[in-house]
Amino acid sequence: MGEKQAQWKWAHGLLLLLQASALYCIARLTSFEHGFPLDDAWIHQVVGRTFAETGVLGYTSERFGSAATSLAWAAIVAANHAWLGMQPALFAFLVNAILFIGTGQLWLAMLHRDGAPLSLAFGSAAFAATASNFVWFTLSGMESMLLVFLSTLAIWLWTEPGEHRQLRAWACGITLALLFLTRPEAGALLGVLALALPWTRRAWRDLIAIAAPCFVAVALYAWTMAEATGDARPSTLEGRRIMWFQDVPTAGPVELAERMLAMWAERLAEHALAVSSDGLLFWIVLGLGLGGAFVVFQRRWIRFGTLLLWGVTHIAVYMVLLPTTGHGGRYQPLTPALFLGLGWVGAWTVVSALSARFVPSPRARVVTLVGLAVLMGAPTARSLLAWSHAHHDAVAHIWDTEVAMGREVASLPRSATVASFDIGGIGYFGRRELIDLGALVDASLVTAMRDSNVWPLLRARRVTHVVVPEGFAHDFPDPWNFFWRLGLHKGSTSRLVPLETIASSEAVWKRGVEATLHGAPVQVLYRVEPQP
Amino acid sequence: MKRFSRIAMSALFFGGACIGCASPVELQDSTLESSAVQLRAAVRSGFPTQVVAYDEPLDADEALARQGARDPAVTYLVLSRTDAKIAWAASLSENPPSSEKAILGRWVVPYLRAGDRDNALKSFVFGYLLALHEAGRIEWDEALVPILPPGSLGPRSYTWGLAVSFLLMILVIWAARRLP
Repeated sequence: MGEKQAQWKWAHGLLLLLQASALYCIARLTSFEHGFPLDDAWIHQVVGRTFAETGVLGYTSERFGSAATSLAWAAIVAANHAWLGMQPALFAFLVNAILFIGTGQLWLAMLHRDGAPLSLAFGSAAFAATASNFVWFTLSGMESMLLVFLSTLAIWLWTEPGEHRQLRAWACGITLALLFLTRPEAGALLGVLALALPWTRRAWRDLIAIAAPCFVAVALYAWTMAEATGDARPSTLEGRRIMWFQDVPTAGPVELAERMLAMWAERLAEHALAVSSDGLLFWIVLGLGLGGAFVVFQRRWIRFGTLLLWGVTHIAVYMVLLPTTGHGGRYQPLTPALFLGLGWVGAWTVVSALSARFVPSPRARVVTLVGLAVLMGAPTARSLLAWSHAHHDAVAHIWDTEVAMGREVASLPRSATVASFDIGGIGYFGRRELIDLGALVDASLVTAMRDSNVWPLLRARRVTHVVVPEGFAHDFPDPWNFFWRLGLHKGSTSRLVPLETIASSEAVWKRGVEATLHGAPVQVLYRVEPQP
Repeated sequence: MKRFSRIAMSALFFGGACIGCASPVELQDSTLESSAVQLRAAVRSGFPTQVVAYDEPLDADEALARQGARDPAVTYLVLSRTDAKIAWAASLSENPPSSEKAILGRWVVPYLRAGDRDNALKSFVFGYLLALHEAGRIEWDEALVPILPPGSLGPRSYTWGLAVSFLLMILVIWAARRLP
């Protein structure tokens, strides 16, 4: 027994080493001084800074909740602005790294408690925790890792009643409340935990303990949002819906859900295995993963099974609410981890069954499993290396365009009224009030955005300068080109005169955008002038 | 628990099957609908325009002929799997806003070469409206549908891949039942 416990301790230590190596592998080329790979991470920084300076948790001090996708993450970020003053990207990384390490360790502990064999549990936790796309969330500056950690912790507390059953149930409820404040859609985990109740040896009344804090958080959130914006839903939802789906205005929910699944197929193939989705390897791992899911439920691994059920439910929730993977897959961050973790479960099962039949020597069986791990680890290692370049280029791109444009905006006269579609780097370094053309701050701008007609808004707000993301070709209406998408080409009594165009090189932009979907290659600053 | 496993597995497999159904480069019904909406900008300014789309490797003239009698007041944007053409309305044929070659060359041909009919139609409609707009013939006030650059999407079939995944999944289930 003692020897087995020692083996599990070693497994935790080795997993920690692998997690640290994976993090280093992606982060090694990039300096934290240069910020984040996504402009949205800078939006969190503005919200955090506003909270630290004014006590209002919102993008602007006038509007609570504005542009705040994650109230909990923005509050954490605010601690740095209030008390520490570290580089924003370094602080976000340190917090996320702790969450990342904790998550991987909890996954291994869950599989251990579920009764999975050591080699299966360790491999599954290791492949899940070092899935390159998943590791990158630690460096993204976003709330994704917080969501994964809190989900995992809530599931652990719920499925592990232990000696202090009631206390753990209340702790689970508080974790769920924090999870809801991290991302409101994650409140759906409450339903998953309720579904898992019959297998947890818990009493029905424990549901009250987990539901009560969660409902308090929901009520508080809805009430404060309704007070501040007139709508209880997250203020960013409608703006994001338009941004993601303007290219398919008449697509129905099934078509959008299909597109989302196809996006994940592409993403998992290219950014978890470093192959094309036309390649055989992706389909092999998918098949092994689906089989692995069967094994998890067949063996009644309730802890890991609940995590798996949560991963699938989270995707389903997004299919209904906002059917997209988000930048770099950040909306459903469990997906790449579960894909590879379950892939190992499937592969381990097949190899173990075959070797039990054909390989009599126990030592040879161990060698076979090690060989399998090396074989499966090769694409992960290759993908981690590819992500290091993608992350570097994404950070460079955001720094060279969004942040650089922010500094341009800061240098405009104080009398200027500036409207901008991107409000992260531009807002953080512009250090002035912006009219948000992406409808994240003010949901009343949604109609103008949906109708591709912001001219009336620009006139009404007496806007003097406009910043819009564009593609490399100004006259090509690709999804990056917000000159067209916002209807700035339409006839008007005013015209736009370009003052400054800031672009990344195509190579840098492309390598970053393929992995992270960070944003447009070009930012253009226009001055609004009357038509001659 | 067994039932629970089956439900979860069916849901996962349904997800996989949906991926198999998604084919991003075929002409989507939603694109045909949004193209009709986009073209209202031309219709309102007195330039009725109609899309003629065939999912076959047809010559554009043949595709147009299949339409039957043509209305001389209407401009037809013809798109088959391999060819495209603009049949100008009488009001535009004398003095078109741009040459047919210029519109097709920039906005349609690169997509047909890449086998991307969905974006070919979006781009075709955009190029045509842009020509009318730049010639000062129309007020362009419809919401714009963004278009992916040519070559962004390759033709992909997921059917064989799903078959491989399915077989592997069966293999894992078989193996799981043989392990203690």
